[in-house]
Amino acid sequence: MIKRKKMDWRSVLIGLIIGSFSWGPALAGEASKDLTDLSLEALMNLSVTSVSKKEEKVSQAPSAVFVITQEDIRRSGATNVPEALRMVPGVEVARIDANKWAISARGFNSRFANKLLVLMDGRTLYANLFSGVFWDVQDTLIEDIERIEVIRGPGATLWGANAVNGVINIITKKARDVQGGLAVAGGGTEEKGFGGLRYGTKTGESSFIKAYAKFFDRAGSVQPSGEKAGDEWDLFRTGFRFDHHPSTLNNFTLQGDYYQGHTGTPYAFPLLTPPYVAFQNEKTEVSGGNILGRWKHVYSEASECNLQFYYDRTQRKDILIFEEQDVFDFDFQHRFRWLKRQEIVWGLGYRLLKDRLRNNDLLALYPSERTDQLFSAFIQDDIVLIKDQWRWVIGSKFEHNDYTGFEFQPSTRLIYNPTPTQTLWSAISRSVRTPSRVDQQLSAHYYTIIPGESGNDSPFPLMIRVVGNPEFQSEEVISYELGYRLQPLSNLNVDLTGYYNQYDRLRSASPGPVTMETRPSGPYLVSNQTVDNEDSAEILGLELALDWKIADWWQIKTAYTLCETRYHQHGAVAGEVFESPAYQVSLRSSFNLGKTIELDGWFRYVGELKNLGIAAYSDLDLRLAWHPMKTLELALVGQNLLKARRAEFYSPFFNYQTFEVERGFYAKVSWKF
Amino acid sequence: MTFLGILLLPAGSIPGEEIREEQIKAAFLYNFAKFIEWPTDSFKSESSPLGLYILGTDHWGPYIDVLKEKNVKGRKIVLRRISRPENLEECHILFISASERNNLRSHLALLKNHNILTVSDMERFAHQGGMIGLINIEGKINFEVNIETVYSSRLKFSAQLLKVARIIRNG
Repeated sequence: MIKRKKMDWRSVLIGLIIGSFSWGPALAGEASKDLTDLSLEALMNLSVTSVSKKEEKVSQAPSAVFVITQEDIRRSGATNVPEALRMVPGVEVARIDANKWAISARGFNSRFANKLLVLMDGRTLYANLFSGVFWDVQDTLIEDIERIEVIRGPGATLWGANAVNGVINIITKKARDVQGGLAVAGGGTEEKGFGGLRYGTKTGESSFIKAYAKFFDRAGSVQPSGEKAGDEWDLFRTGFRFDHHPSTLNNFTLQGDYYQGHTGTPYAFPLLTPPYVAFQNEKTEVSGGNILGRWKHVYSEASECNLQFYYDRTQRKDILIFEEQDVFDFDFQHRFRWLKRQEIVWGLGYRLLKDRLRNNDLLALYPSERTDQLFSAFIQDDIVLIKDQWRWVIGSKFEHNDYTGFEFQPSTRLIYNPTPTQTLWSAISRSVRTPSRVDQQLSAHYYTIIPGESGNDSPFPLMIRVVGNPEFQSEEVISYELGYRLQPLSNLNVDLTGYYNQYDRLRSASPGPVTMETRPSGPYLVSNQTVDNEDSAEILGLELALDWKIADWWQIKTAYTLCETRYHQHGAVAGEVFESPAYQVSLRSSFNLGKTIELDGWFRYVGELKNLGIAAYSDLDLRLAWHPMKTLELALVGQNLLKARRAEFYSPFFNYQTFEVERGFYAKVSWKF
Repeated sequence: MTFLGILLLPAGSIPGEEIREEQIKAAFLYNFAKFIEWPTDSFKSESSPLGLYILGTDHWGPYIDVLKEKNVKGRKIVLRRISRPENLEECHILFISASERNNLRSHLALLKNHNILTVSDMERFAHQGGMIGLINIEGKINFEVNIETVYSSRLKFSAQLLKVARIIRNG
């Protein structure tokens, strides 16, 4: 019914760049598109994709931005958010075992990577414990994700602390956009079984609601010996979203989620008596929920504000970690045009974090309960220097946290558009990674050196204990970025970013004198490795994203990443092992055979991790999908096809071994009704 | 956090899927012409054209031009851009640009007995006495009809149109 002629790709992009006020001649071809045959109802249901003042900036974003669309996710065959992130240049994704990932941007990857800020619909997915993300519980109905925006580099000016190396913002669909039902089900060798259900409906003249539920059961990975690792993973999740727009000036959103499940965790616990280590497979019980309300009010075309509140609760319970965390967050933002050429965004935020731990002999935090408050404010001014050519964005975030007091995080960005199809930008920013609970209050018996082993010539076992330091300061980075986006051909998009980051006061650990302690099991020696800020590093990187639409039925999307880390270790022992590959490639090809068949391939190369002892690897995913009807999709997906199994990372957190990701196949049915 | 969410749309999104707001609004104007009846004396003859005038700064770009080739109930659409609400004898639909916001009150007063359909996409147009306000709600275009202004004119809105409209009454 919709008579939409295929549009010239370039004209769309030019349209995006020029914005809605200056019409270039290149747009003329587009005007032939005719929607007048549509009914009123159909017109009211069309979504505007490129319009207003807000979006003029899209292609001119003065930072390294990459957007994963729902279509990208669907065609990749990824079944969860971490796997989808592998397509982003500058982002490192490594699967530690079946349910744990190390994910970072621009270096310093680890299970406890702490320089990346991850948000879902404006809610921080953040474990106060180590200022990172527990990826095993970050999920939603994958079909419900509208897009994932990834900004590499310091996003600190707007987002605040810990957006040191990047920000990932997962955005789910509005209730209005998912009217009707969706059912998905599938299963295979690694993805043993999964299913999801979503339904959206109208609840009033201008209000909409959607609700979903999903479940999955995933097989575990294997040890290098081929034995099962014991890291099976199952999770149930349900949620809703209610949107109410009584008028064009007001928008209300209320949404919430709840989840619970089990993530298998193979632990190796150090002991002080022979055999000095105990292996134990734990079924970590995870659960959590959140509720979020948002009000957006538009004063005029040039001014609007947002008010958001959320409450988030998470629980994680096994023999080692017993943790409960509550977060109350309040956020206000106001955007307005000022003196014609400037647009100012400012905001205030307040966060209350409470966590409660159950300490044990191996892992303890003092005090075991803690409440923190975070106050933040930011202001950013976007100034047009020469219309359609030069822009300058300057701003800063001011923050007060209970660990280090005031933090100041400014940035300055300059954007130049020599022609409508080219954007050059540069930025200098300062950002900090504020201390987490672990940095200041940890006491962990990390491992035991057996009597007689190198490093311990005494007859007693030597306990290596990592101890937090109340004097621990924020880690700091000064980042220099240069970016260039261009469209040399109407069907080719190139996005190139280079950066140089200087890190200072990085976390290190210094050994203290060896002392004697005793327990009922006998006396033992202790060496306290106290956390401090002695290390520094430089990272030099280059990221390239290249999208080439060869024909209407064939598109290729590639990402190249270079990330050269020079680490200057001044402390005696590096606290946690952080490592990112120096070189990565992702190459995706999407092929349409006729109107009903889709064939997708995704090749990846990831360079070696020397310090972790992980070899470089190449791998391939393939997807074949058939749409017998518009509302039905049948897909077959093969993942990690090149090798039967291989390791991607190693996390030394109460663990002595690597786990290997296996080749997997699954089939999936999606039905819209 | 939500602001930047709005800012960052996929730069390389799928071609062919892009629809501009102006294209949808132009299609709405065409539908209004189809579903509204003007008194016969507002046309010179059976075949005289339907006048679509744009008052104020024109933000339509090329998108309004699709209407130039159209016919409505046997009448050709004639498009004209004007800077002042004058010589409106052959005008049937007057699109008032947002640039006229400050003069809206006087414009509407002037148009009172003209039997001209007034349409605009400026904020709260229908609330201020305009006939049809086009509004963007979360990326979708809807329209508000000020039913009192419509009833005080001699235009006839079809039930089909009113059924999907958001009905506004004066304060």
